[in-house]
Amino acid sequence: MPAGRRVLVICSLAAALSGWSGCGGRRSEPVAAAEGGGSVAAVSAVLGDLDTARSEGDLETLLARFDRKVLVLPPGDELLEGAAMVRTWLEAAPNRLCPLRAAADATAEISGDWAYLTWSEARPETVDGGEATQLRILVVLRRDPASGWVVQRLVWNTGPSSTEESRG
Amino acid sequence: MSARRPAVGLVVALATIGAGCGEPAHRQAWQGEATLGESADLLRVHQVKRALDYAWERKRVIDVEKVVSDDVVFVPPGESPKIGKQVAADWLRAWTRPILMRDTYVSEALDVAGPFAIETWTVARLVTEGEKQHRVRLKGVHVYRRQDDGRFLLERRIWNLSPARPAAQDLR
Repeated sequence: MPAGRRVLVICSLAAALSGWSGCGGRRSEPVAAAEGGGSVAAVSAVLGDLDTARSEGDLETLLARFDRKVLVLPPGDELLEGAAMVRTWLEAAPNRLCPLRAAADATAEISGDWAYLTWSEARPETVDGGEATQLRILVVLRRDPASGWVVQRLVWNTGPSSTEESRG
Repeated sequence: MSARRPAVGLVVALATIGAGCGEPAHRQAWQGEATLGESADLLRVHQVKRALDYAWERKRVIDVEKVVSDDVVFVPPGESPKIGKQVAADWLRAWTRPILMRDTYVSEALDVAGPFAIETWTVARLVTEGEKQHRVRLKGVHVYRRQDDGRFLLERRIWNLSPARPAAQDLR
């Protein structure tokens, strides 16, 4: 992230919507149901566009929305530092990036020019041949004056499904 | 505002939990043009991180609870998320195996932006359990949130495994 002051106004949609995205005191809304939240809609739309590019193998569109200094943390692989490294990684196997379309029950925390979203998705594979697995994703975005929302951090992992996540 | 530092630490800790252990061997100077207020925020986040490391190292769950938010979420790989301070604390308490860990921070990046602080880290861990030793490499993201009193508390912790490296490389 470039140095400098960032003036931020909290408009967060915090908390305990679905599963791991929260519990406890704060309240939140699903991304898809957020009303009047222009930033939420914009962030969600960006992720939707990114996922379309991802699924279509459109690397140029995808990488245009990644910050030059993005950090991507794929499970079972090395930390990817910067868009150039992400490009090389994706060119080797385009379909190994996690889904980027935020689920309807994602939690969005947006504050001025920064946002982070968390959500989970069911995976077809199972743990030890039995238990269903869940993909869990966290993405941090920053609003760039020229490019709009860009991905700053992306990390995901997998684990067993949990009843709390299906709580909705 | 960003900062990066490498760090080294020796820790007795819990098995699959994410990194966050150990004293820094040295710390790189803050980068960028942070104002005094922003530098103060970086220091506040690092204070929380150090307190978390210290508590983790000593299995002091009660002290871990002091630096995480009520709705903290731990997202370990291969397990279900631990949602909320109480659940996370219970999960930490459950790790009672006598494991000695040595964590070496390979890299760490910290960004503070208003109410958020985003920390990205990679760690090389040497795990010793009895006569057995093995190495794992982890990486993850911590999200801290500024509280009304100015403190930052840990709000999200998600991590995963990196591929193993030959032993000779682990020692670098």
